[in-house]
Amino acid sequence: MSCEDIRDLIPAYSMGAATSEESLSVEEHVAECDLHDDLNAIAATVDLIGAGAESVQPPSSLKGRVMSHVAASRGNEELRLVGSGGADRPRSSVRFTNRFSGF
Amino acid sequence: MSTTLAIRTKKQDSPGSADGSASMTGDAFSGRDLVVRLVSRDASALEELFDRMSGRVFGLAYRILGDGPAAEDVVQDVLVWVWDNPGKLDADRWTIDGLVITLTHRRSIDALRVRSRRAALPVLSFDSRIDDEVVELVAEVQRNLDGEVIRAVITKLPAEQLEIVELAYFGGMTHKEISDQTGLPLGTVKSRLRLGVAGLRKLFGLAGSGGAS
Repeated sequence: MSCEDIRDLIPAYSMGAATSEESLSVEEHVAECDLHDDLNAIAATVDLIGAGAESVQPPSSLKGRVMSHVAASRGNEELRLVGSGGADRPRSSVRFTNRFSGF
Repeated sequence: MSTTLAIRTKKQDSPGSADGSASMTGDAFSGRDLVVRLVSRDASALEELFDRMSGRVFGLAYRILGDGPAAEDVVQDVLVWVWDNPGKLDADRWTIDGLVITLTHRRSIDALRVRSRRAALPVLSFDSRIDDEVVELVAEVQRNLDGEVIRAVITKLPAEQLEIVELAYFGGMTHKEISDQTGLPLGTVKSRLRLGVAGLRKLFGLAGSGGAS
């Protein structure tokens, strides 16, 4: 594909609205082309669309569900720490290389 | 790279500047402290994140899914993911607000496509998007523009472009799907989406960044 073809695909790719074939074309092309910078800037622009969604308060029960998960996971962590003698601390900072990895 | 941090020059503008660009107002809170506390497993940080962001991300998920319980599930999934993946948070690189919004969008579109029996779309390979200057730039916009201002900026797009941008972003629709739904030729859909995003880039004051569009 030409750079112009790829430029047509970058907005949809940045929105996660490109097909598998289109995504592959974009990724292969930008790996060897200065459109990489263009992709970065358009992805940044697209991120802002979501930030403009109107705020709607969720039901109050949602916070309890989220925090219950936290309480349960903390309980599990404490059990693991007891089992390992308390030596296994979480890492303080790790480069976040893929926002969607495992999500 | 030669990225121009155009947004920094916009920071001095007053609201409603003559060129229609977004002005910088509001909260300068970066969320950095919140990320550090999340990484150190401080549960009060997640509670604070919920209080700060739940309305915005629930609103986004609800806009995409049109279904309260499904939107709740998305918000819960996203915040639990943030809590469960401290190794993937980096206070130097991402604003927590931007991360949560992007994850909410991705998760909501996945749920929408499953519900409407459309094929799943590929997970965006994000490695190619990591770029210190652009990340810093968008982080600054996210810190300084509130949702109301961003909505006002987006509505400045020509209606025919806005329609296509919204179908792609909020509907998770491919070019072909948009063409089928609207009856517009595929080439028209592609050009309107491209023009729409380029227009937003200009309106947000990001037009000087990352090369030509």
